[in-house]
Amino acid sequence: MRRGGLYLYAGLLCACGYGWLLWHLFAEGGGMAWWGCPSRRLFRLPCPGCGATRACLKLLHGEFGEAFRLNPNAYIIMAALVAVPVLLALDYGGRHGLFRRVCEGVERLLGRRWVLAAVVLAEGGIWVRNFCLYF
Amino acid sequence: MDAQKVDMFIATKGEYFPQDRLMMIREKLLDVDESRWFSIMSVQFKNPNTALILSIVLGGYGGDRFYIGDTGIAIGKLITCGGLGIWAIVDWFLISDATRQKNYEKLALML
Repeated sequence: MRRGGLYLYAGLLCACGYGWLLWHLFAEGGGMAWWGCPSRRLFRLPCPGCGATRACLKLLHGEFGEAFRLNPNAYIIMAALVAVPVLLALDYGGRHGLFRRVCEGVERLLGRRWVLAAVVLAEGGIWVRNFCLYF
Repeated sequence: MDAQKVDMFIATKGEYFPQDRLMMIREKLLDVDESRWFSIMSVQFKNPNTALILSIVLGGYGGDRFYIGDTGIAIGKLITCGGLGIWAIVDWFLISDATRQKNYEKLALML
């Protein structure tokens, strides 16, 4: 992905993530009942992300154990939501190319078979757990 | 490299690369040594149409990004259920160009 495209993509995703959490945090989802995971709704198939919104909100309230119980991926999501704006700000502040280098480093790390296998196993475990929880 | 071979490569695989880069690819291939022809021809490039189909069917699980090798983005889509579906829909429109760009980067490493 070209530099400008990557930064715009990451920035927009972060903004949407923050918007989503803030909407739930302060407007309680606008009073609307959350329709749930799109995968579960459309295909009756839970995904590894089921419960992540509630887990992120629990993390913001300092309930770390409860957040892990709901969905451990919340830790990854919150870490990304914190790290990405910081990296983008540092990049625009003078350390040019920092965000791109970090992204490339993450891709190289995930390119290693043992790392990818560990991630796939972990997500697979969360997916199976979500199946058991929702069925 | 022989112009006929280069034109055959462009004719068969041109759709796998960004259209605005095809002239540059052609020029670079013409400059490449004949001995590297087989290694260039044997490279597996990802089909943008396959990526689009995967994006529509498995986009919510990151299947399209896994296909083109964007593992980090794929895992991001997987753990957020395609960004609650919105990220998955956005990628329907971005994935073909992203695939072509990935193919171009793969070819550029060899040239």
